[in-house]
Amino acid sequence: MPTWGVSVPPDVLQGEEKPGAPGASSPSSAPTLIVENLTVGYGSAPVVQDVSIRAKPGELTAIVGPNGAGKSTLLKGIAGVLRSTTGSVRIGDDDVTNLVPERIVRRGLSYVPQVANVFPSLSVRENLEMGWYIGHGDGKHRVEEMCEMFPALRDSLHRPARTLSGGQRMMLAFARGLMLKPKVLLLDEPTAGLAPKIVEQVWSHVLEIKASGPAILVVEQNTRRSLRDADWGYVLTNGRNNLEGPGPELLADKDLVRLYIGG
Amino acid sequence: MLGVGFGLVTAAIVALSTVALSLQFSVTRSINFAHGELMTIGAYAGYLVAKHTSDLPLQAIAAMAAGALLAWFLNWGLFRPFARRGGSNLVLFVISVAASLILQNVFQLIFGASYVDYHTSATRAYHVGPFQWTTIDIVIMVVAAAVLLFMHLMIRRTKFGKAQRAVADDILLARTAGVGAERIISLTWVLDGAIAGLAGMFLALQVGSFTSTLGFTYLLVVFSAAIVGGIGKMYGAMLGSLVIGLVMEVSAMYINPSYKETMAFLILVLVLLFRPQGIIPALSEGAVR
Ligand SMILES: Nc1ncnc2c1ncn2[C@@H]1O[C@H](COP(=O)(O)OP(=O)(O)OP(=O)(O)O)[C@@H](O)[C@H]1O
Ligand SMILES: [Mg+2]
Repeated sequence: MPTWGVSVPPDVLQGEEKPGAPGASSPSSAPTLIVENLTVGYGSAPVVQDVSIRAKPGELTAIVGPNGAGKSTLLKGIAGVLRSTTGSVRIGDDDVTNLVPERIVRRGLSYVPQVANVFPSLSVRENLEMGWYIGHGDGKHRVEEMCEMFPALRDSLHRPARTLSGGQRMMLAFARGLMLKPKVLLLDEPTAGLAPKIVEQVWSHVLEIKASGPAILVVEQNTRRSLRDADWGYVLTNGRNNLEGPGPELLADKDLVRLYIGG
Repeated sequence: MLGVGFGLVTAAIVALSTVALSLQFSVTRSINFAHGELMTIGAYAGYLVAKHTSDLPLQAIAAMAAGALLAWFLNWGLFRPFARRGGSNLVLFVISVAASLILQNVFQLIFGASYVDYHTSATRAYHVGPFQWTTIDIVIMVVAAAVLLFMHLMIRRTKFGKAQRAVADDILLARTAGVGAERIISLTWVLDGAIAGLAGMFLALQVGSFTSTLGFTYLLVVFSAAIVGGIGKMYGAMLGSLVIGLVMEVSAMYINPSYKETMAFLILVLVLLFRPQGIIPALSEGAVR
């Protein structure tokens, strides 16, 4: 079992769980990602205000909310792409608030954006290699492991990423984000615009990866799907925390479903 | 055939400068109007060293170092501060025009307004097939070919080259992958300057005497080659340079050689009219290609 995380000694990773069964984290395990009272925006007006989020290792944490609620903005603030004006972001005990993105990735966070999440002119293999950019040694073994996990990539290793279909592109973005075995994985709408069959594939990969240990924070338009499988869900409206709870419980809340999810 | 022979030498010089410009443009996304001055400073550096030694490699090293230093400085002092403040490309372009003019004046202050002579003793003539070249012609072509091959290998095979292409594709995504984009950009400028400086020295050697506007007057040729090849495409830049170099020298055999640069411009206009995306087929579109 390879250890998760980049530059941290194995013994501090993933708490005290048995290495063989990292997915079996107890509900009481400490969160890997702790976001507190984060305020993020573009220019002067904040889009996300005072939002607090926690994501635990081996769990799927979902953020749902209407269009324009600020879900993508929140992820950008966590990943260091946008600067926050108040609040803090921690990975374990490590304060990463407002570090530049190239530093945050070194602390064990991978961010897969909603759009523009692959390098179009680089080949699939080179995209995966970019995912290993700060890794030690050559990442060949990881490229190989990614090809095993996402078989569609293997046949396209030499094709430029811009020639991939939407589904393949997403798989590639996903695989790129996994190359370093991050402690925290941020996924922004990984199934947006994909055919239903592909959505199922992507989603089963999400669950498969979750079982292997990282804290996954996923933003989804497909609210039902994500809440059904989410260990914990947050509803974000107008850039603020609205509700939170175990995914299926949120889904069972009739008012919530009627207001924000529809049908 | 003599024209083709000269054309290949000119193409080699144009290719060096154009590939450097294309690489810089595709990675940094800013149009550097002061690119010609990188060539000019290389020419002056070679010229200064030649006063003390006839050793060509030493002159070349000086030319590359001077070009690299100036390019690094342009990025550090102009492009990066403005880019950090979110200056638009138009603003950066105007600023680089100003930098170009200022540098020309500085060169003139230092070296005077009149032509300086820059020669090499490597002028033995060789007949190679139908072509007639001097030693320096052959040196220029061989070195250019070697530099272009080096660039190709660097861009395709090395981690640095891949990072350059990743930054060219999407700087933010590259940063989230851990790429120190500012450092990559800075090094790209240095590389751009070194190669442009070398091209400037070769150009000066080929024409024999030059002034502070050497690179500036050649800018049109370099931009033409870059646009003919499809702006920002490295392999296109090589092909564009070949086309421009050959057209310039072959036409000079038949019409007044002082129209050489005009011919380059004519090709540019024709390409812009009929293939604005450049002459390289669409399948190779992309950032650094
Ligand atoms: N680059 C930007 N510059 C300025 N404002 C932006 C930018 N991107 C998004 N916004 C604004 O921020 C608000 C939140 O956008 P955001 O993309 O975070 O929403 P979202 O919840 O991810 O929506 P969606 O479900 O459509 O992806 C919107 O009002 C949007 O107009
Ligand atoms: Mg979004």
